[in-house]
Amino acid sequence: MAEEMGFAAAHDGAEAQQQELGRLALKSFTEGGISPEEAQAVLNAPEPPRTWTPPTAQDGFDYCPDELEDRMINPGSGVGAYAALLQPTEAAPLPPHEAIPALFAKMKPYRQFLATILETCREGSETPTVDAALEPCYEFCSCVYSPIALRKMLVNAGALVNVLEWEDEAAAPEEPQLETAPDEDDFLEDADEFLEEELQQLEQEAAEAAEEEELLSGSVYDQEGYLVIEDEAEGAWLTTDEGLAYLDSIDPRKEFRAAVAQHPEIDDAFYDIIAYCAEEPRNITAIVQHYADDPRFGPSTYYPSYVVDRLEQIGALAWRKNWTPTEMGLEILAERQAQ
Amino acid sequence: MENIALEELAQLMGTRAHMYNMLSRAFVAEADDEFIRQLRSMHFPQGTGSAATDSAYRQLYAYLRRPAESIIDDLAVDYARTFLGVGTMESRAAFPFESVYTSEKGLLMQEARDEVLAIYRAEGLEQTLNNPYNEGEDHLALELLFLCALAKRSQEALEAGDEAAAEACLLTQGNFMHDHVLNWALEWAADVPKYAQLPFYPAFAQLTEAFLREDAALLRELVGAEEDDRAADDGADTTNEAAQETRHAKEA
Repeated sequence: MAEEMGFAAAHDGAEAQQQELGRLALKSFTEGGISPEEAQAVLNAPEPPRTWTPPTAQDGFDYCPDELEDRMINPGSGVGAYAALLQPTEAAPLPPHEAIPALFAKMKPYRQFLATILETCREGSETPTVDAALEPCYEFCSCVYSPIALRKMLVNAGALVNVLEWEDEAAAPEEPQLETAPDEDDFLEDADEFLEEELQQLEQEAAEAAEEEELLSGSVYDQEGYLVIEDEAEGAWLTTDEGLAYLDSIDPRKEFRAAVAQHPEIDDAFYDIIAYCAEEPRNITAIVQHYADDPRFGPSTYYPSYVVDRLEQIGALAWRKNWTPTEMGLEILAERQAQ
Repeated sequence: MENIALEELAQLMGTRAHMYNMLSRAFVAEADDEFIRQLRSMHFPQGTGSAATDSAYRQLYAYLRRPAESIIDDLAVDYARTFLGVGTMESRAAFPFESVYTSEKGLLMQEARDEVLAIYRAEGLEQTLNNPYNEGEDHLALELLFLCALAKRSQEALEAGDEAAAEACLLTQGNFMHDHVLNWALEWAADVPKYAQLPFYPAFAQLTEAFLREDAALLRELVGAEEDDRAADDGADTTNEAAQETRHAKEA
């Protein structure tokens, strides 16, 4: 009954007090009130013991002021795990067959750029070749990512590899496993503490020297013994099998039909906007004004700009200072008109 | 300077100027394509007699000889993190300003800046140093550029046979080195590896520290300073200890 009247226990330590208040409130309604002694007893009741512990840094809170004055001085402090924001947890990497579709779904406006890279690197291409293939795509500043960033995304997704690094990893010989003396542990146990520290220091120095030697392996020196950097081949980029599989699965016409099927209330609008832009390249203002009184569009359905976005992502429209149908878009329109 | 041929000394001054110019460029702004190209084309000295210098050059060589495709972006991010405090806890960084390391509260544009500005004006280099950079005058890059300019002047004076002018210029460099560079730059160089995540800037900081120590010793030898408290290492350590105490008291 107390819960039905809204007297939910806020803290464990105050639950008993809340239940008592609930009982008295119920009594006041059902029996016409409570006695002054009962009311005074409630007022004089000691504050329930505090059982709520403020969060600490171990809980992810670097500072959680308890006093109201402190919270006023530092508004927002203690809210959220601030420390966690500085060290965000990284999600586990997806396998390529999941990561590649996820990348393309996330980068919908730039699918053309990603697909161009994968298509160019189908048989392996050098960096200048890939950049040259992408250059026309950047003509109208339709991508904020550089080719370097796009290639990095594809590499991280498992759709692209750098052939030089791939070959180096394949050719790298396995390091020989050194056999340790069978009684090495017994020797350390019997060694003096000072000798043990010396041994650890020597091991550390040896490890550092080995690391530097590996870092400088293959170094080139001039006649003065100075280190010289020689230009190395940039390597080639190769689309992986998973990347090729996804690339070949991309079917813009199928995506167009799927988009039309998903929006039956404006299915004709997809064709109409392509046709409107085919008459003359249009900007978004002209398109919106043209369909301002069209009953198919509106707050209860979709706006023309949504259709333009979908057509761009599919590849039926392209921005070339104005929205212009692509070759695929014109073919789709011709097929529709032929029906 | 009596035992060293003027011609060799002029060449030495030129080498010093080149070195200060390179170090200044490393810290004044993010590395761009041109700077990386210039670095990759240089020969990295080994066997210089300074283990720290050799190590710094090796680190730079190892990092630059196989540059990542996104090296410019990576270095820009590391520059912002190391010297501007972007993305670090409480925006701490190895701020390359003398005022930060020598003022009581670790602020910019303090007395050190006013002093070096007065020195720049006295030498007629105020406009030259601050253009095109728009940093405080006590920025490490500008102080190194000042030493570069004075080294060039020394070279020109020696090539013209004006020993007196060259000696005066060297004395100015020595005083500036002691009063406004070694008093804080060594501590700053030790802070750089705490914030950088790539080996590029720690290597340059190590190179800067090693070169400043060597150059201070060279200036002492050339100018013939005999006072104990003008010794770069001792004076720098004492002054650095005072600077550290000031900072620790501020942080407490």
